[in-house]
Amino acid sequence: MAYPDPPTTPPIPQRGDRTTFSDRVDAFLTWVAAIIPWLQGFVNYFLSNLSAFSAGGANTFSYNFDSAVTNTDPGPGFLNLNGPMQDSSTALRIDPIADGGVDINAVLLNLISSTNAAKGSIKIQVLNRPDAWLLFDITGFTPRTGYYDLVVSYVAGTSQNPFINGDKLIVFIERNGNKGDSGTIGYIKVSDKKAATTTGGAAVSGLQDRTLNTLDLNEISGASLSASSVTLPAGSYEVYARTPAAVVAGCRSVLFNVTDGVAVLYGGSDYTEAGSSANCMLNGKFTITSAKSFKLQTYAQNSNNNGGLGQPARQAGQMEIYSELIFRKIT
Amino acid sequence: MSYLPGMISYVLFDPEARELLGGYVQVPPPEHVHRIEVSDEVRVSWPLYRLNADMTGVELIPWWEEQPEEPPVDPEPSDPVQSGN
Repeated sequence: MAYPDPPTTPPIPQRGDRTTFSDRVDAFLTWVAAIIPWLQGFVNYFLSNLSAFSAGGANTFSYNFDSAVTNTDPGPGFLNLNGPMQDSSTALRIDPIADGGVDINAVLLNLISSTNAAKGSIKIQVLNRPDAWLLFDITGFTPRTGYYDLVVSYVAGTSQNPFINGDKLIVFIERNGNKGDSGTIGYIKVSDKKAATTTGGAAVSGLQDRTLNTLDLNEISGASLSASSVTLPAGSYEVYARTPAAVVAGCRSVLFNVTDGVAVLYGGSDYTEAGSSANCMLNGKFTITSAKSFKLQTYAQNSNNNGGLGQPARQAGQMEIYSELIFRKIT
Repeated sequence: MSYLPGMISYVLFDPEARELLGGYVQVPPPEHVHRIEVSDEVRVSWPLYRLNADMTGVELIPWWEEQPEEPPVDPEPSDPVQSGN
């Protein structure tokens, strides 16, 4: 909406022209009376459109403060807060038509479409009063007929009640980015460690439990290791594991749910012939709805009494590390 | 290093065999009675340590007391590989 043109400037009164002076003074004073509200309106219009000039910045609009705390349509160009103290407000009602007739429906709809828990923020400041403002996070909304009922949470401000009814306001609205993918929220690593040059143990033909005697890192509350079994609390997990094997022919790793008595994941098929070893790898994802215990197993096609569950690295002064099992808690 | 509430870093040992059995960082389960709190460094490399004489702590195993090297991997599997695999 374009702002109307200013009133036409009248001829300037000339002292030397007594025949027109009085009429021109009257016309000039009439013009002054008209130009002052025009200028006031123009300033509001300019502020309403500040966002058009502030590339990359918050959306900025002009509003007026309505001191009503009831959940009613504040009307075009107005907003109100529900708190007995303005800074304790939990709801902000705002008309989608800002002062000056600017339609900010698209801005508000974009704001509330954020999937972030805190959809954005709104700063309300009294015009020309940098010492009178409140800042809220916007955490939700309820669409109402003719206005938006925003759920807000106080962040900061200059006083408890910086606004009075009818205050001219500048409203800064900023949308937060969408919620990102969930990352790892917990990590646990267990392993089988033995003294230097000690083998991983004898392999029997078939499935066998692997020793897990070291809890290297534990960032999951409720997770523990005992008797080579890992107990995990409810959640979704990504799992990575390896079990070494030597000269047992076919082999693979298996993650076994001890609590329920079922195999959860099978690792890829592998093979180790004379003079070689295999690192039987396993990875995958699973969800448990209550605490469960797990153990790591190796399937060996053939037995091997001489280090069939892993051959030592034989690094001087260092221990041997055999089976390794990592869980990443993702939800 | 800080741990989650209730967790401690410790090594588990067998008092009769006077051997270390493992290293853990967790809320100790009831069956982990014989334990000694240790640093993260000791926990993750516990096979390099042994119980001290009165079983109140651990001490680094001198390199000259390390176990003798075991024989290398069998040249052949104990059981013959089935044909067709």
